[in-house]
Amino acid sequence: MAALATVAIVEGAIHRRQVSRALGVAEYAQLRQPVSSLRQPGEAIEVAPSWAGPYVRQALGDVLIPIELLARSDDLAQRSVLTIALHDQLPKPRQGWAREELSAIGPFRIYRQHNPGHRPVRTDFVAALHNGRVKVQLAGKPCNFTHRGRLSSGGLGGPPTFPQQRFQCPGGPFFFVGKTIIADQHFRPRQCLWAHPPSEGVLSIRFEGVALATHLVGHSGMYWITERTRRGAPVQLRVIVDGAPLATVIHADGDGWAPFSVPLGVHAGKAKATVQWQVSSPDHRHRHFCFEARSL
Amino acid sequence: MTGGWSNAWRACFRSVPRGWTDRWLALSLASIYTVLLLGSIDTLGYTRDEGFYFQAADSYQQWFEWLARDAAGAFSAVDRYWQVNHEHPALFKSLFAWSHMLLYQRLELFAWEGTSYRFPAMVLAGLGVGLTYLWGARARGRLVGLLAALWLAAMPRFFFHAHLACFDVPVVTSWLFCAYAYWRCLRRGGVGAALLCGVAFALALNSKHNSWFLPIVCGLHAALLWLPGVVVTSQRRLLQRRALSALLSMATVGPLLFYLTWPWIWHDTAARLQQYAQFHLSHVYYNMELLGQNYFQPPMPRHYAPLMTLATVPLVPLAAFLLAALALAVRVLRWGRWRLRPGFLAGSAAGTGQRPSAASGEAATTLLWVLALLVQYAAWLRTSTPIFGGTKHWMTAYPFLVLLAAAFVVPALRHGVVWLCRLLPAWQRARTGVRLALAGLLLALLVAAPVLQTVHSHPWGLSWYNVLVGGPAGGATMGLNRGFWGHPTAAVAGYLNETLPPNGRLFIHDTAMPSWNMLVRDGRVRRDIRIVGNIAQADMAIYHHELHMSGVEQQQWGVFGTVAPVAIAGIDGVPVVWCYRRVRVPR
Repeated sequence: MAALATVAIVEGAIHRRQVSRALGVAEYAQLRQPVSSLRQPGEAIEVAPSWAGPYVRQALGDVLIPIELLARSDDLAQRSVLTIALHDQLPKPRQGWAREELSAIGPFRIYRQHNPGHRPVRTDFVAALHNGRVKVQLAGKPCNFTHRGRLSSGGLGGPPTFPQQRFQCPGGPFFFVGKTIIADQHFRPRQCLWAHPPSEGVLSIRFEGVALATHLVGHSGMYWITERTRRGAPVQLRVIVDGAPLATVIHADGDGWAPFSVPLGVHAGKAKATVQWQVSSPDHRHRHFCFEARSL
Repeated sequence: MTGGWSNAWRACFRSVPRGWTDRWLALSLASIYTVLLLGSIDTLGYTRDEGFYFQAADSYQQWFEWLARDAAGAFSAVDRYWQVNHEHPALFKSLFAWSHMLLYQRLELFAWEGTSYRFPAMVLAGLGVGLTYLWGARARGRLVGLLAALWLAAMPRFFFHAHLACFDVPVVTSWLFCAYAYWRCLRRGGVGAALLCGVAFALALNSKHNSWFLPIVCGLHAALLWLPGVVVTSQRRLLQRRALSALLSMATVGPLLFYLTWPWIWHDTAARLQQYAQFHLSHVYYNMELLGQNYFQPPMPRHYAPLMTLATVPLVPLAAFLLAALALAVRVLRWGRWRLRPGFLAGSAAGTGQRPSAASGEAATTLLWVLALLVQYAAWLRTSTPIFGGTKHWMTAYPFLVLLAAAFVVPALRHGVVWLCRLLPAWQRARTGVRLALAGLLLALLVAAPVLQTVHSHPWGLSWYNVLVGGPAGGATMGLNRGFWGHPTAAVAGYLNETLPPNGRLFIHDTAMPSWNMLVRDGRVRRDIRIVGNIAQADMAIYHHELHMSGVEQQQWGVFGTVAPVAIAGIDGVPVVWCYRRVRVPR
């Protein structure tokens, strides 16, 4: 009885403490000014624990947390990452990264982790889609760029958002090239280029005047709800640089948000190259393929 | 006076096999709980399933009304009205219909139409609490009954589900009632008691498919009574005969009444029953998050049910139950069989001079409670059993969890009172009334934390986790499901009403359309708000967080061109539902 009485008292006390530590909109609002001062240009902001993300995004807004950084594929291009941590939480561990505590603001601590392996981006193909030097063809037929494509989203189990700005191809609404966001196998957001393969031939995305570093690094995948059933045919992503085929990446259902890295060899360091991405599949049905690539 | 206090003291710790006092106490508890439920609906939205059951109830109501006007015509059109939601039996939906028809439309007793559908479920929830008290009192004494009932009532998940026009708490009551009827038949015997078993089983069968466990539990219990040495008593044969009569009644009266009270199975009975069974045995697997991993197909984690129980039952009853289970296991292992001994298992038989038959009945009672608990949890040891409904899947086991826990605690509570009285010389000759008061204080101590947490958790019962995992924040950090069912829309209803322009278009995500319509019928959301099925058509979108739904939120970012929510609601700083508004057309 004494033990249970003790448990009862302890339970009540712990419950009170847990409730007292709860934070609301007012607490998060005090973050905006100091974080705005601390954040470096292009620096990604993370939240620990991650479930507090909506409150932090509400407080900081789209300028401090742009979607391109929130839905980035990896940390290769990040010089550093800023973490807003609640109470006694710590930033996500990153091997080899140095961590420094920058500030304490009420119940929050702000940390910066420095990336020793930072690699500058020469070209981001997702960001470059609208630079005016891109040509898209589907099975040899041109896909024209439009600012006013039909905006749509598929909901749970359906395709991701179809943006208004895109290269619209013949053959139906699913055949276009445009920026979107998919949820990967951990349901994390990944910004990428939607590139549905055709029933025959290839979808060709040709970037002209591209600056190259030493590698083409990227990821391929599909919205995990589509891919996890593992019923679809593989998708091939072929990369051609200045007319020379360099590599073919095969994405199979279940691979998730799969990384690839292609050494550029003789093409490394070119100031203006033509890089062509070709997407195809032996069975194009439900191949909601999406990829991102950068030259690092 | 002295005799009265002494009787009251004894009744706290000894089984009270008969009498109207405990029935009235049970009904009082039931009434109080129902009133509490009614008084706490204003913050609660409507779950997806409630929307479907509103539709079913409306359909059945039309049939009942037709039946009153033209019985022959109504009987000829049974299928047309009863095919709606025929994957679940009819009892509770019929009650929802009657409540809506009589209490709302005729008598206008409720301000909100949705409450009228929910009211029968709330009454049944109260009756479940009351019945838990009654069984505990009958079997072990009033304090066991009271403690068990309060612990059940003050489980946040149970309290949450008890509000809903669904089946998950009502079936707790009908399941408990059938098990109680079986037990009562063992104690009293007689045709009436056996018949009651059959009737109770029919009610359970017409509640939800959790009832399919009842024959297993009762059958197993009866079989164990037949095995020599399992329950040692001179009245074993009497128990066996009574068990058999109960089972026979369940096997005959039960199915017959079930058939008569579910119109959908009046035609093509065999095929439709098979379809009903097959629907649930081959149920589609919805998504459920556990420890940060999303499960959408087998193998499901075997540890799901025990882990979620550990994480969602308040600590005091949980600890009491674990201690009870440990004590029981030690006793069984030590003696090599289920042996009748005075003490915890035999309850108040210890030192009271009761006849062995009373003690043996108490051992049989404990055996029944243990079987009811184990059999219902055993289903989740199979990796093919769905887990999408969270704790409501095995909620029918919770009354037995609290009864076993209370049966373990109350003798210790009695010792605690006696010890306290000895501690202070002035109290050594304490009047029984003082002892009762002390017992009450200790009981209050044992229920205080669960009650406080239950009150605090509402209406976020599905997002609530106990102190073991760090509360709702700890549960979210551990990657435990934060909610399902789409009902938290009510938490942002005020914001939507204030912010959406006239005829504004809204994407309601996981809220079912009939559930949204009930909010409109209640007057809780504006009638002019237009619901759209595609985020791209919306001015504003709601997002109900679940791990596998994250892609839907990301679609909202893409459509609205922003990652910053405009409204957020949740519990203890953990967001459960939030909204996005169109900022600019994204490029």
